[in-house]
Amino acid sequence: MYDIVCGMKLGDKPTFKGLHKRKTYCFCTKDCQSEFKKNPKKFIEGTPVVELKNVYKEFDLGRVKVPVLHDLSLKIWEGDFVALMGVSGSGKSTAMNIMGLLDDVTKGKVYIDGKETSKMGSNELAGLRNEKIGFVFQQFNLLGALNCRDNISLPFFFKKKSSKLEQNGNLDKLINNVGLKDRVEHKPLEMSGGEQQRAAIARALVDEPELVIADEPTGNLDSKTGKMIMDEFRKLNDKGKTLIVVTHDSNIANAAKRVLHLKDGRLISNHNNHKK
Amino acid sequence: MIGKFFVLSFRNLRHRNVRSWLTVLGIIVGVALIVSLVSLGKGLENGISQQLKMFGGDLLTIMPGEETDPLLGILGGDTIRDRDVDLLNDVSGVNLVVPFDMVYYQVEFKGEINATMIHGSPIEESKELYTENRGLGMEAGKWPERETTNELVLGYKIAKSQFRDEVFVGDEIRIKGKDFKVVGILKEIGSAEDDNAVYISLYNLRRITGRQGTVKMVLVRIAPGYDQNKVAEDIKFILRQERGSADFTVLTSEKTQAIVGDILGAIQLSVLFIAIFAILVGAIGVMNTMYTSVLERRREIGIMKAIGATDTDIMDIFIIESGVIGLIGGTIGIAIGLSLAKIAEIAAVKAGVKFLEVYISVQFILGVLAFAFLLGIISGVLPARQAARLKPAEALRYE
Ligand SMILES: Nc1ncnc2c1ncn2[C@@H]1O[C@H](COP(=O)(O)OP(=O)(O)O)[C@@H](O)[C@H]1O
Ligand SMILES: [Mg+2]
Ligand SMILES: [Zn+2]
Repeated sequence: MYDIVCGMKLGDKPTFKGLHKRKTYCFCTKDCQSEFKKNPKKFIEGTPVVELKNVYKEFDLGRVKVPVLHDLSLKIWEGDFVALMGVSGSGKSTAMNIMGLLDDVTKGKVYIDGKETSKMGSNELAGLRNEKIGFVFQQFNLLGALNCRDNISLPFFFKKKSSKLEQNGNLDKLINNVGLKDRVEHKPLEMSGGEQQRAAIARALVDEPELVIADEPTGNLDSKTGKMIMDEFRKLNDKGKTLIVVTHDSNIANAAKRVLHLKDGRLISNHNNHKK
Repeated sequence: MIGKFFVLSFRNLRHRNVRSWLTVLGIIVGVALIVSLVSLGKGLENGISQQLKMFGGDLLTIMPGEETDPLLGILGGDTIRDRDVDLLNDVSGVNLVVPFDMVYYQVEFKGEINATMIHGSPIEESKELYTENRGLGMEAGKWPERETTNELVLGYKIAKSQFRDEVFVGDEIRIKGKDFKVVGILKEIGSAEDDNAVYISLYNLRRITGRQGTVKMVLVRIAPGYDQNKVAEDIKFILRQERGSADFTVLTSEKTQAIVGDILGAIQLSVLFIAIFAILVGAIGVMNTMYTSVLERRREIGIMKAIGATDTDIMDIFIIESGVIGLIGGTIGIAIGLSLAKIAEIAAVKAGVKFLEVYISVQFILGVLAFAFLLGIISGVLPARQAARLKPAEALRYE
């Protein structure tokens, strides 16, 4: 039995239930229950942007196998802003890599827009990453040989057909929005950490992906810059962008709408941020 | 698409450290060797066949030493005897016989001493051979009147520039305590050897060397209408009978050309061998650089894959990069190779050898560039494949 909203696997006797058109649905928490009540049709008929179903992941180190994710099931819906929390080593990055199609699973299924990905070839996966997903990493991960502008436009570089977005000045608007107008000619090493991360965010957004995945985007930044970056994410989500952000800073997690907790590779809780 | 990859490759290459560039040295050396070799070799070949043509197709050269190795015979001090020479006059189809002897000796002009090659051959016959067969006139003066007079002819260069003062017709040159009057100066021949030589009668040369009854070489001219190969066979037959063994060589002009070609070929082959070796080392160097580069840039590969680069994209990027390394190595190699060839040409001209000209075609240059590019690409294939196969999540884990 699975939570139709957050996708979590539920125990035998779930406490939160809901009825819609004479069918019973179960939920992990009151949050999911009320979420469902607001718009049942969305969850019954719609497809999540990302769905993991009974995902297991273990790393094969030759002599030993390291199990990292255990039966992980979850759903991310369009317009979500999810914070993925958990102590270091709990499997957050592994889960993100799987959701971002950077890594494969040992067992279980991964759906992007309802499409199962396990049978896709590496080219198709690369195409999906290019088209639908934007990544932001803790280490910024800009290419040292390229200047700021070229780094930001890199996703266009790997498109098989030229994109309209590339021509219509989206790039300059974006560079303006992230406040890097005076930095376009600079190489990553000539930029501050905050500037680099803003460039990385611009790169993740430049071809308007459906989903932005950020793995500890503020982890290498001081708290003030970190807060600024989180504000960027906040604004993005207000404009409707779907976001998943890994963090172990609960202050930063507060910016998200929904918080998932991972412990030893298991999802242990899902709750909404009600403050706002 | 590929154009964009080129831009990325150039950016990446600009980012590289000096050490990784050193490995291109092999390609540079190999290409430089090939380019200088080919450009000079072509000129050399042209020049030598031109020289040989001057002798005309109707001359035979008879030298001591086994036919298989005529150079060894001369170096070994074997000789042709006067008796052999006399016999040659009687062979039908022969209408001029010019025996030559030579010695490297000191010549003195106005107290200044220079060592040079002195050619001795009968005056009458030499005059005919030089003027009629080689079309070589006198820059000034004339050939000596008689065999026995103390007169000589100078090569163009030795007269003009070998001594402090230029030597003119009428000046005196001293060889082994005897004074010789300069009666003629030859026109420029184009080889340092010949232009720096002194030409005297065989009689006079024998007075200098004390060698009697032998010569080092005989030139034989074939009468019109006779087949040079046939006459050569007759000469061989007669000489073998006279000498009792085949310890001499009869060279037709064709054969001379073939031998020169063989020697040139051997030189070219050995340099080519070195060049190929250098290029091989270069290719391995590039491959090694690329492997290192793939290791160092695993993270970058991970980033590009995360952004949507396919395996083929990554492969293309690395292959183009190593192709560009090859191209750069090739360009530098061509520049160095041509400079070397040009330096050799200038040195040769200074030494009086006019025919060592740099000869190069645009097609050849383009071919070498394409080759170097291809070489880079081939060296890059395996490392590039390794790069392309990296899994994105794994690649991103590296620092
Ligand atoms: N490629 C890998 N090979 C082996 N072990 C790995 C690999 N990736 C992650 N792990 C291990 O999996 C566990 C979870 O890692 P990770 O997902 O990075 O955790 P988090 O991001 O929550 O800190 C850790 O124990 C880590 O050492
Ligand atoms: Mg992590
Ligand atoms: Zn739930």
